[in-house]
Amino acid sequence: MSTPWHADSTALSTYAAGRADPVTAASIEAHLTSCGSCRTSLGSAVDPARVHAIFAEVTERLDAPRAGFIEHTLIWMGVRSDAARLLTVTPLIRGSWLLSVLAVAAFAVIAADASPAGTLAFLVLAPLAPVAGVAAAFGRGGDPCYEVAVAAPYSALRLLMIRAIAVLVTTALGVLAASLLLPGDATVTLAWLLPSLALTGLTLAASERVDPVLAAGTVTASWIIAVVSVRTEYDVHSMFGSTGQGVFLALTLVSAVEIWRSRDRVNSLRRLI
Amino acid sequence: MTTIPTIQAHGIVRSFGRQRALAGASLVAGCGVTGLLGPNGAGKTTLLRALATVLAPDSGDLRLLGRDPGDPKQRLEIRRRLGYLPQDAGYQRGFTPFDFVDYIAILKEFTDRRARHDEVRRVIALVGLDEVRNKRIRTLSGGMRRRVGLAQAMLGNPDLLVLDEPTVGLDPEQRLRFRDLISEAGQGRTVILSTHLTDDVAAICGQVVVITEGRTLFSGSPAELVGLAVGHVWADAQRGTGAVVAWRAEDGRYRNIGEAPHGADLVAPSLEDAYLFLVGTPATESAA
Repeated sequence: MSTPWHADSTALSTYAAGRADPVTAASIEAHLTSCGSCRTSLGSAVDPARVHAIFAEVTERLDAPRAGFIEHTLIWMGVRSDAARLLTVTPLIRGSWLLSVLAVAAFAVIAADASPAGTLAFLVLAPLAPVAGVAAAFGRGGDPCYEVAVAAPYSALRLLMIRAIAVLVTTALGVLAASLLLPGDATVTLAWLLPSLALTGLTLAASERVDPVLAAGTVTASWIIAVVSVRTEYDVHSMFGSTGQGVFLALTLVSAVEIWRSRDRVNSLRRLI
Repeated sequence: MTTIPTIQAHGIVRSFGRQRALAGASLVAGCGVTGLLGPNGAGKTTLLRALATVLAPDSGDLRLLGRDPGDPKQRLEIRRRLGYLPQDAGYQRGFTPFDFVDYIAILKEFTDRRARHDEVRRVIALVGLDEVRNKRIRTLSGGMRRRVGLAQAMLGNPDLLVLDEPTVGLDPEQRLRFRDLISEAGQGRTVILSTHLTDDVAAICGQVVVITEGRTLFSGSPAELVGLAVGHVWADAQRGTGAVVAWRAEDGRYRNIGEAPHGADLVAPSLEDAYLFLVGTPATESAA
């Protein structure tokens, strides 16, 4: 059925170009629903490129992977969208490291009680959480599509850093939350942060040469031996005092330099990614 | 004008501990589809991994797209023009085809989100997975998962496509569809695929390379491979004494492959016969 009047061609082309005012647009739209002839005229007036662009936009809104809260926040903070995606996808690739981190953190909290010895147990165990995370995230079979990732041009060092940051931040937040449950001085419960950075850095640097699980195991064993040997000579608390923290900072920096220095080796190794 | 072949591999050696996977394999391939045939354990996967820059050969001369994969800068240039589907391509649990291909697209340096998504949609449509692009990969059939793998390999229209056993585990209909996709992909680019099915090679490959025990036995066209077995396949009521391989065919007679006796009832060899003739005989006697 057609109506006795038709929209004039100028009005239709203005509407098709998206320049009609809201009142005219609404009136044309109402007319189009009942007038086949004007719908046909509109079809020839519309720029195909514009239709394509609108359609592409609708498709993009509908089926692009939805950025979650964390990804949005990262982009808002200025992180490039591709890096933000990689950061947030990392836990999805291999969730098992989260379990190992939680296990170590839970163990640390259980070991800690109100006594100074309990707090010390926490300080010794907590830095091992990110080490366990790194081992589980980068160990053999950590990424089901690692061969494809290796053959891709993306910098292996960059990918390694992005994943390490994802593991570190998640772990740090978990252990930080756990440490807040501990009684006593907040500065003491935060003293694990630098040791954990140092141990993680050493694990990553060693992972360039040996399997990450072996690297993590060696670092963990060395840490425990260090704690035990310090304990026989001095007060273990001194390890977490200002001198100790200075040593951990130095170890962190040395590991960072070592990782950067051997970036070509990282880029040609598939083990890490 | 002479064009440099996309793949130039000569005398490639690679060992894993004491085991020598490649013992001097050679392969030269240009535009079109090249099939790499060989029995299990022949070194096909190792050779393809070297061609995909995932594995460095211990020795030998390897040039891809005219560049040296041993040099980090040139390797990066190769990787920017390379698509790779490994044999056991894994997928993250919970990913949809879109998520997965998008993730690989990031690793392939598609930094702009919108352009990347358009490219992801393009390759997913190319392999015919439009309908399921937002379903979880783990709910898809084996054939569909292989197509997801092919989609990621096609990202950015690579000049070199390395496909390791792309048709393995597919049912006949899916295999036909996959061959069609690969043959289409071979227009204007170099595709190298490994398979142990001579049917695949006969259907889509312009060139075939046969390797066993890490060495190249043959390199040429499928017709040339068939030509090697002419006069070496015969039918008889019993298993031939000079036969390297023999089996009873549907008509009840034995199909023998090997040194035909005088006056034997010779039959036209198939690609499968030629492959068996080649692989079943010592390399020194049959090297082309």
